[in-house]
Amino acid sequence: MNIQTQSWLLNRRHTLKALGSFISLPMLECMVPLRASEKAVESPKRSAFIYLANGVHSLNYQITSSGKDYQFSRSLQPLEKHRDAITPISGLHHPGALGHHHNCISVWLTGAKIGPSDRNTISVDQKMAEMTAPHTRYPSMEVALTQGSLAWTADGVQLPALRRCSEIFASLFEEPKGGKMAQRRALRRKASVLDANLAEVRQLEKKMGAEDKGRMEQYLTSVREAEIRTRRADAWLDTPLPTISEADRKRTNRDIAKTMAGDYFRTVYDLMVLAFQTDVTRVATFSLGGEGDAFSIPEIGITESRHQLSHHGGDAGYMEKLTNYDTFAIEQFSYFLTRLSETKDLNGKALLGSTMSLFGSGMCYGHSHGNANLPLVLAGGSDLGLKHGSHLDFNKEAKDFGGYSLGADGALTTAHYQVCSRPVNTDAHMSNLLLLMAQRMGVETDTFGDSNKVIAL
Amino acid sequence: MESLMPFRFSFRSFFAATFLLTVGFSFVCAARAVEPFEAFLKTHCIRCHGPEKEKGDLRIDQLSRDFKLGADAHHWGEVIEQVNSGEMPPKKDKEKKPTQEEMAAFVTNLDARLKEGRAARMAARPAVAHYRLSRKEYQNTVYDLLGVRYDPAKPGELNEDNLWHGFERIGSELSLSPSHVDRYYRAAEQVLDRAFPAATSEARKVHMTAADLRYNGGKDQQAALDRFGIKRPLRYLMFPGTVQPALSTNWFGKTGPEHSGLYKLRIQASGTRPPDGQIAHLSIGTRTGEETVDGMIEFDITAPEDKPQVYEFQVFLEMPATLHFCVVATDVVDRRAGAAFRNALASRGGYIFTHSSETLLLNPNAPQMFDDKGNGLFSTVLLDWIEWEGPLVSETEKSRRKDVVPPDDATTEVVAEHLQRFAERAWRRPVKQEELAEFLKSYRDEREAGEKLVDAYRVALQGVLTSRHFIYIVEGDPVARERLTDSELATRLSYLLWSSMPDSALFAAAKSGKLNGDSLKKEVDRMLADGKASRFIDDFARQWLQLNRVGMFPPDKKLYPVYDAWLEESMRSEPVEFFREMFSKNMPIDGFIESDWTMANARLCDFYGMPEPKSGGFERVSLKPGDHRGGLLTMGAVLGLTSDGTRHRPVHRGVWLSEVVLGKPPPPPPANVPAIEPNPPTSPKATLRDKLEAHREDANCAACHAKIDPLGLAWDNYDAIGQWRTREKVAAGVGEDPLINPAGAMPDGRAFKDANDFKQRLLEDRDKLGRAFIEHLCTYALRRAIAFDDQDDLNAIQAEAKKNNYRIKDIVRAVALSDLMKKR
Repeated sequence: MNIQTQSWLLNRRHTLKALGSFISLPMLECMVPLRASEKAVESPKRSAFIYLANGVHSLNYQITSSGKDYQFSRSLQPLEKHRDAITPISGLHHPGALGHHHNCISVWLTGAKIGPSDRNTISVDQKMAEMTAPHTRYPSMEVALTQGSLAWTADGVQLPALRRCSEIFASLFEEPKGGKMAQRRALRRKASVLDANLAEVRQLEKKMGAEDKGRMEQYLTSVREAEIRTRRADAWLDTPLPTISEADRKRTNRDIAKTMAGDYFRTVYDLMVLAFQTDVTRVATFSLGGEGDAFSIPEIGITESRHQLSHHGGDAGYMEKLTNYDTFAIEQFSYFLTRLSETKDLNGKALLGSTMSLFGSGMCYGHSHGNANLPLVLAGGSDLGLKHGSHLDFNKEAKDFGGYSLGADGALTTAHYQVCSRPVNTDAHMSNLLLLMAQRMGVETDTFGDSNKVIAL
Repeated sequence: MESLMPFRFSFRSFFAATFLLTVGFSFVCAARAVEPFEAFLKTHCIRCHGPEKEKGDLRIDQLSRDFKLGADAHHWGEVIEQVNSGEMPPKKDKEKKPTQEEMAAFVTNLDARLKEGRAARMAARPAVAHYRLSRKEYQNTVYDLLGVRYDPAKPGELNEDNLWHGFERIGSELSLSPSHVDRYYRAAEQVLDRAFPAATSEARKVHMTAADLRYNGGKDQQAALDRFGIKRPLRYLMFPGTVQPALSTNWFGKTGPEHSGLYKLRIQASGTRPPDGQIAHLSIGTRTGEETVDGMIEFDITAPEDKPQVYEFQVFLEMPATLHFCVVATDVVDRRAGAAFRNALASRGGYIFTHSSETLLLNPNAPQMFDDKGNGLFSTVLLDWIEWEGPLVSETEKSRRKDVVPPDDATTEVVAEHLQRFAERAWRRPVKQEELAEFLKSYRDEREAGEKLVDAYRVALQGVLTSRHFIYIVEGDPVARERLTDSELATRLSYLLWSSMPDSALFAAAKSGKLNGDSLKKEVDRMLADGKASRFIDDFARQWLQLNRVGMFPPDKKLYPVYDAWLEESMRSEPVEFFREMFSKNMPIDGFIESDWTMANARLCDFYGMPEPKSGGFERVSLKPGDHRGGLLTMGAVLGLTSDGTRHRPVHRGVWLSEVVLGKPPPPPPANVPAIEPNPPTSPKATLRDKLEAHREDANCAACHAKIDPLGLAWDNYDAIGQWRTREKVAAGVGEDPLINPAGAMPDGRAFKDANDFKQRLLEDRDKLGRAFIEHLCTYALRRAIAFDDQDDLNAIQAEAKKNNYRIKDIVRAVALSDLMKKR
């Protein structure tokens, strides 16, 4: 085995020479042994993004008072106990998503334009992962209980999502098949195959000169990146996998029927906490379900799909169920925050302080696909400088805004739907919020998506 | 050419093929003065966004009119958006405010230019063009290459293909990320594992009777039957609302991944159908819930109790596998409503079943499943036995991987030759030895490290299968050329007609330079007659009609209780089977719009209210006027895919029809549309049409909607899942449900009174239908958007198609033989 490994190294050097120095840089970086113990001084920065499809029942969700003394709305009630660690945000929107119905999910974290010839752009989690990837075993984790993930590459390609908890667990913590040596051998074969493909395409690239190479360029960068990841995986083989306690393993390494939505949501949150705690990754996205077929929740008497409820057509029963669904989902998010606050980071502080979480939707008023005034809650990350405790309301900053339309009973009236469909404050882009999060993660940039300034918090 | 242009454009109407026309650069310069949108800009926009004032930093006079280059496409998009949403021109500008019609004409005209530009950009080919295989094509290709069954659509395998107007294989849409590369690598590993398994396994067979499955051998039950003198054998009564094992891991004895492969399943069964109830439907697959399985095998059991039938299927199984039966019907023996009932039927020893006439005798105290006339109360399946056999490997499959791996004692030269032979098939073209140098080097490195030949050679095969030459269809050379080479043409033809790589005969024809003239015709006819052409029918019909949208928004169970997974699956098959019939009988295109027949199975006939067909599967059934069906447009799939699960969506139906049938997508809606609020409970019930008309009073919406909506409103007699109705059901409001009004006028003014009449208006535009169909077919064949440069070639295809009375197979043949197919 030893001999074989060395022969491979020799082969590597040959290939390197042939490929020039271009590839050697990221490779050298990835070959640096990366051990969790060496970077225990400062808390890693982390981010999680959680998506709830089809908007909310906004009449029961909207917080109408702002500032420090705001009153929680009915659906947001479960977050009251985290008041000091959260900021509900109103009045943001993605200009590119307006009028694009359910496609809003695909630009929720990218802020791109949607159109037949528009390509999606990189999502903020992947922008963050570019930075954190060299330090963790896996660049990011993507979970979506139905339909696609929230994560998009710089080429506008959607990353595949994991769904089953056992599958997520295996992807994070499972021992490599056949032991370390077999795994290493497999990785090196893979690197060698990818190398050969790279060399082949580079020869063609040389012949083609500077003209448009179309898809070839993408093939080249993708294979190169896959190759770098293969080498990183190889380097990580020498770092033992984190030990997962028997209790944690039992709780998270199992499959849950979709009829048990609460258990399912909480277990994914547990897996995210576990991934952050063990520093396997620092970036996670979690779609509770796609726009078309997010789960029903039989445990609280909801047998309809979420999409179906959102097109309530004014049906009082449906609106009540939708509110219950919103509250239920927010309650599970609250569970996540509780877990983060109870779990200790490497330095003994709570994970909640080093983890920013954004919960929300790309839609507000589902019945007629209103994509403005997005329901969003930013939580955690106080160690990264976020100051929570207020309701941040961009609607109120708009000069034309005459206040929320409240009926005689103090409840919001259906006139509020207009606020959820057409932005009151056209400058209040959601990308400004994504930019804030990117900057706090340490991404050095002044812009993200279609941001026009950064949100101060 | 240039002098013809103004003529063409002056005749442009809403229905003209604006989607296709690409304005060449020279034309843009020459025709700038005549572009209708320029006059609008001059009157309403340039004053504030021109040399005098530069509001919002925008100078519209300086925006690039070269739409093909698309440098200012996003600014132009913004211009449309602003006018469309009524923001611009500003309202205070009273005397110069354009009329609704002027605004609509402006938006339509400018949008058409932008679309042409986009199409041209999507159609632009670099010197070497790469078109990635879709998942389906990958699957077919590895099967035809190595005889390996691999399902890329399974979770964790290849990523979903990005669709462009339903098409799965548009090169500019199919992109690649590092995670795709990883998955292709893993896919290649799996394919090779299956082609060259470490240990081979012989086929095994297991036969389980009802006694084995249901009665634990059935000794006691048989004794009971003997006591009563009952001669009929034990049967397994399966009812809706439960799942039962159809295959367990231990049935075959020790079973591992090496036993994965193709299995033959045989089942003898019959079914009962309650009067006014559904035919028993059996789903077999992996269990997904308490009462559900993912339908790997789905079929209706039409055989009556006294005449059981043997049903046979072939299915690929990853071993060890556990599968379950599930009887699917809307009326289930429900756990919540009748636990005692269900428990009694499901209890192991208790309930004995042989025949409906003997249940009362055998189970006097159990809940009854049949009325006194022997009619089932539920849709049930009566199973006699089940048999699994596999893994089955055919000689054809074996022959495909024969001689791929060199013998153990092969010299480096022999190894190189083997690899070259394999690469030529995998890459679908002649391959030079030096192109394989890198892969051979990997092989030699492995050998030097002490690997056995077979293992070392795997690295080289893996390289060939993850190469861009395999996962993409590569066309062109570094030095640009216009025509395809013979092997490129062979590849294009085989992916058009077979959704896969060329076979050896087609390879040979390409190699010997015979892909032209009469021998090309002969080759295309051979391909059309081959069984693999079935893949074209499945793939093209699905993509053209955007059937991926069927069930995307699952219908509300409360509003549409008859809708279930099997109905959805049957609906999805109907247009495909219809296309198959049209294609194999080479019928004229008119049938897509209107026909006095359709293809239906028992479930669909049930749904449409037509007599039950003779066989269990799809068959041709004739339609009467009272059925309110005929052609593609009145199929459940089409009517459902344009709805949102709760309501029918006339606007979506109009847009679908414009795109798919007329080949002309309308301009995009403005963002910022005000919300439509639900019908208040205190006001009279109103149809969606009434509400839309109110919406259209908004000046900014009216002009475009006046053109789109009638195309959709014509189908208002069909609800969100395609059921016929004369009144629209409105949830809240006062009074009766309102009557439907499907009448309207085509954008050119021709009136229609209902859906049937509308079909006649469409048929009057036969050439436009034919043209749109040809364009869709060419988009599919060329894997790119159609552009203005293609017009002459399209005209030639259309002339040929028209000569043959627009018969479907003839159109496909004309496309395959066209000059367009031979161009890059």
